[in-house]
Amino acid sequence: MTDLSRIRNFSIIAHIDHGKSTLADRMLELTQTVDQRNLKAQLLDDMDLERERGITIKAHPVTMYYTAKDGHRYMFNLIDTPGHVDFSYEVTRSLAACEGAILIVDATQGVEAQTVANAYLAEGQGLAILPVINKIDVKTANVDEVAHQIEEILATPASDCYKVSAKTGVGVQELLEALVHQVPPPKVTNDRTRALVFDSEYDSFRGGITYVRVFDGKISKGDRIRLLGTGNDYEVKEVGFFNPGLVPRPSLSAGEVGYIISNIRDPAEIRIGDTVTQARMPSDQPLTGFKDVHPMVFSGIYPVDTSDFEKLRFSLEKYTLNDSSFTYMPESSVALGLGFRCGFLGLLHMEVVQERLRREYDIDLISTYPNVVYRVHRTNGQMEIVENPTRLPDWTEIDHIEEPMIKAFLICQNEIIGDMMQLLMDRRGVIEKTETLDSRRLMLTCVLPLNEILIDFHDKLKSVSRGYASMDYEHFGYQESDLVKLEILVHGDPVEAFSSILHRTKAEGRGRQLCEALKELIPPAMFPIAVQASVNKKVVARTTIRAMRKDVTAKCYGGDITRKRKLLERQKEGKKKMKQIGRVSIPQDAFVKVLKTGVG
Amino acid sequence: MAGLYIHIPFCVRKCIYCDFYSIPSVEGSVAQRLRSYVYADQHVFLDALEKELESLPEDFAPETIFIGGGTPTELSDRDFASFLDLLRQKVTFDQLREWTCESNPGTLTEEKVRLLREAGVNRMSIGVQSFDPAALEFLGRIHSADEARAGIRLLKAAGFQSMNLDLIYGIPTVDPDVLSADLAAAVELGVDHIAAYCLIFEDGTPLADLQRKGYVKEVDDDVELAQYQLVRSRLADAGYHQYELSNFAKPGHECLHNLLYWDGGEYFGCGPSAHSHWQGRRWSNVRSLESYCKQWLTGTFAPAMEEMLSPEAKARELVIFGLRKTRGIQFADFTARTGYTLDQLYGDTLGWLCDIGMLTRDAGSIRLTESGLFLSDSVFAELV
Ligand SMILES: Nc1nc2c(ncn2[C@@H]2O[C@H](COP(=O)(O)OP(=O)(O)O)[C@@H](O)[C@H]2O)c(=O)[nH]1
Ligand code: SF4
Ligand SMILES: [Mg+2]
Repeated sequence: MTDLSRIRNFSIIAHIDHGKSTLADRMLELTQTVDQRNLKAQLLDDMDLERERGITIKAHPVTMYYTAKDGHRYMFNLIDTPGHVDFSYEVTRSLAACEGAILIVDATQGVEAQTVANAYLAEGQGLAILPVINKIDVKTANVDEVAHQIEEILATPASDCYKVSAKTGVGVQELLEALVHQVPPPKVTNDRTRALVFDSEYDSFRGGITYVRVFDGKISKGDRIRLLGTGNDYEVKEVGFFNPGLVPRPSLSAGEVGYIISNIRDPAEIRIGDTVTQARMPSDQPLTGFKDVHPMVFSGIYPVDTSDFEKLRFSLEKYTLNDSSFTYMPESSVALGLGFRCGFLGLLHMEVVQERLRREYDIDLISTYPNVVYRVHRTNGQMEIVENPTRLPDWTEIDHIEEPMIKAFLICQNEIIGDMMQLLMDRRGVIEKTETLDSRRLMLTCVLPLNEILIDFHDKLKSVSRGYASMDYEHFGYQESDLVKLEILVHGDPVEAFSSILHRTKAEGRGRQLCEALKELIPPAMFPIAVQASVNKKVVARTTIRAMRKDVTAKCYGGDITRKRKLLERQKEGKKKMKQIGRVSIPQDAFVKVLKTGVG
Repeated sequence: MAGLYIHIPFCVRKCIYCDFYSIPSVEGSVAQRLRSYVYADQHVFLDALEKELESLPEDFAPETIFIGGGTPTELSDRDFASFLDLLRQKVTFDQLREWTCESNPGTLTEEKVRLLREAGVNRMSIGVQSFDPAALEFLGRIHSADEARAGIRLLKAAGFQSMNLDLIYGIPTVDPDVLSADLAAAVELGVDHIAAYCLIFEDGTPLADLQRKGYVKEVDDDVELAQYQLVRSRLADAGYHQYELSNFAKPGHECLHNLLYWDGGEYFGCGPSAHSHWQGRRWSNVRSLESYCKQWLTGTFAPAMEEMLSPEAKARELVIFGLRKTRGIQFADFTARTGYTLDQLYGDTLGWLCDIGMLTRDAGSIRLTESGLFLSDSVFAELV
């Protein structure tokens, strides 16, 4: 058991590439947690994908021991946070396990949107924040200006910033020393055992591994523990520290960070934010109030090759073992066959999951146009959660619909403010604040519907700002909105797969876009085909695919009746392979193209 | 009613669009080839053909004979004479009503015309295709417009009353207005039958190859359609009645042999790549002169393709080919021949095709409308 006054629990928050991993490496080195030989650069990010995309997805805690100038040996628990708001629930749980946070800002780049979003999260949790200006070794470092930005955004005196080079190690020793003095030690507040679950991992041999921060009491090997959220009891098989691998210990006690291995076979039973207590003497006060994470964004995932369906199911099953925030349900689409409706925490989460499925399980996937989760209030007073636009009740039964909102932080160059505001307004954004960051840059705070950033928002942002703007956001509740269901009718018949929910003002534009796209994708028939977009039975856009002009093979010669007949049979077969909507044949390809990219 | 088709698999050289089975006589320029031509293959071919003709049923007495190819008139005068003799010997002629021979203007000689008349051929089909030099050049034809006219004069002088003239339209790189002149020229020649085809880009032809490589593009659908309409109206004005998608005749001068194909009639096809339909069975000969000769000369004939259709498939086939004719399908006749009614076979599809203006039906028959003619393949694909 470690003396509480000798424990410091903290995390590092930073924008991508500002040096979180490098700084962590230096700390591990200086505390001799890993020796120089085993120090693989950027030890903390071990997923390929993370490394490629430069984002940290999963928190990997590590325990270090630091002997301070006061001569005492301190236990430092570094809890890495996922660096993106999609995982903000996980971030808050990780932060909840700490008393302090290091906030890194790259001296050559300045404050970025993600820094702001995460700093606000840490502040909200009441953590002691240590602002660090990194990369001071670089020639273009602008330490004073960055210090000034930090002062603006975080209301921290510029003089309180720590100036380091994570690369050369300059200032890192001082930072370690500062952790001892600036980060408060853990406090015990309850006489019964309570530990916060801030992450978990699944090991095919050992089952679910729970990552915890113990707040009160202690947990030892052989104890019967209870998860308050689920009420399930388990026997503790092993406890230990992350050092940095799993190192068994007899027990974990108050203030400490470590892992618990018990007989948990189903990883879904370990829920981030849950509280672990002793089954014999349970606490009745959960730590942070357990919250179920609900997916915010849904999209269909289908195998390109329909025979891969089982393989996909198996892969999803395996995938969820290590990512319980991801959900999936089988669904069948008239156009794409059997697949799954998948729920994600956000856009990035969606990309990451899809990419990992493609790579790790080697399946060609079609993912459909994503949508957010709506709250539909019926005229009879009932509220319904709608995760799939095709499941929207008939409009006559809808009183109103609410959609999820986000609060976005955008940082951009001064001179593009006009374009930026235009972009945000196009996306139904309401700008709350415009702040000057420095002589070159501004920060906009804006509330806008999550739905509006699902498609190509990041690309637009990048093109408007020539790649300089950064954005981050936090979820901002639900808001009633004038939403409608846009239906596509082909030759008078609605094609469910093409319907979407969107704001009334966008219906016409999107409707026209879809009609035009389908005009190119649906082959002409013997008759003109009307393609219409309608809202509440009212046509808002239409186009006509003109009838085929000519389809006649004049020559039929020499008595080769068979060949001609077979050609016609092939033509018929080709048509059969398409999806029949009434008398119109729509090629599979049209569905894939429209559903996948969402056109435009 | 039954027919006989004979396939002569030789041509001076291959036309760019042609996917019929025929082998160019020799390589090199036309003049060179005509000079240095050796008739070796042809002799063996006639021996094999003799064997095949001998294999026809004893009581087979065709009402129509059609000699096609290839270019039948590409045979040397001497071989051409023996070929016609062979037919006279091996085929029963007492039911014969129509005997057509195809010819290529570049290969007609006075001697051949005389032989044809003597043998009893009463209808000639001339592959003119166009009277425009650029079009003839593009298609790879071996003759000029003047040679075509001369050939027809020669046939007329020899007493041929009944004549078909083939035209092709929808030719890339050629001014679409050429068609108007071609039609006028054809009409002026006073033939009783005109077959006007839209150029097809058949897989495996040099034309399709050029298209794939991007050197030529198919003529725009709208242009083709306008050309088809021009063909129909001009020929109607000149007194030709359209009796099939691409066939036009002066009243009473329809090609009986072609009608046989569209009416599900029976016929034997002799020669490499020829098709037969006899007692419910369809088969074809190998598409190789060498294998064909080997098979028949060694008594090891084996069809390249063979099929027996179910009664229903046969009935459907009758529909899609019967509808090629402008008079369409007579319900009573159809049911008498197949045992099916059209409604049994197609349910509400026929009604729908009528609704969208592709078919029109009256009490006794059903046929393509004018719009239906242009989209006939799509219509047939619904009915096959
Ligand atoms: N020159 C210099 N480069 C640094 C420093 N800290 C990090 N880097 C480099 O910046 C890049 C991003 O660092 P990394 O630690 O992966 O950032 P993270 O995305 O926040 O984890 C890497 O190429 C590092 O080598 C520093 O203090 N000085
Ligand atoms: S003449 Fe007739 S058969 Fe011979 S290559 Fe030309 S189109 Fe083909
Ligand atoms: Mg990193």
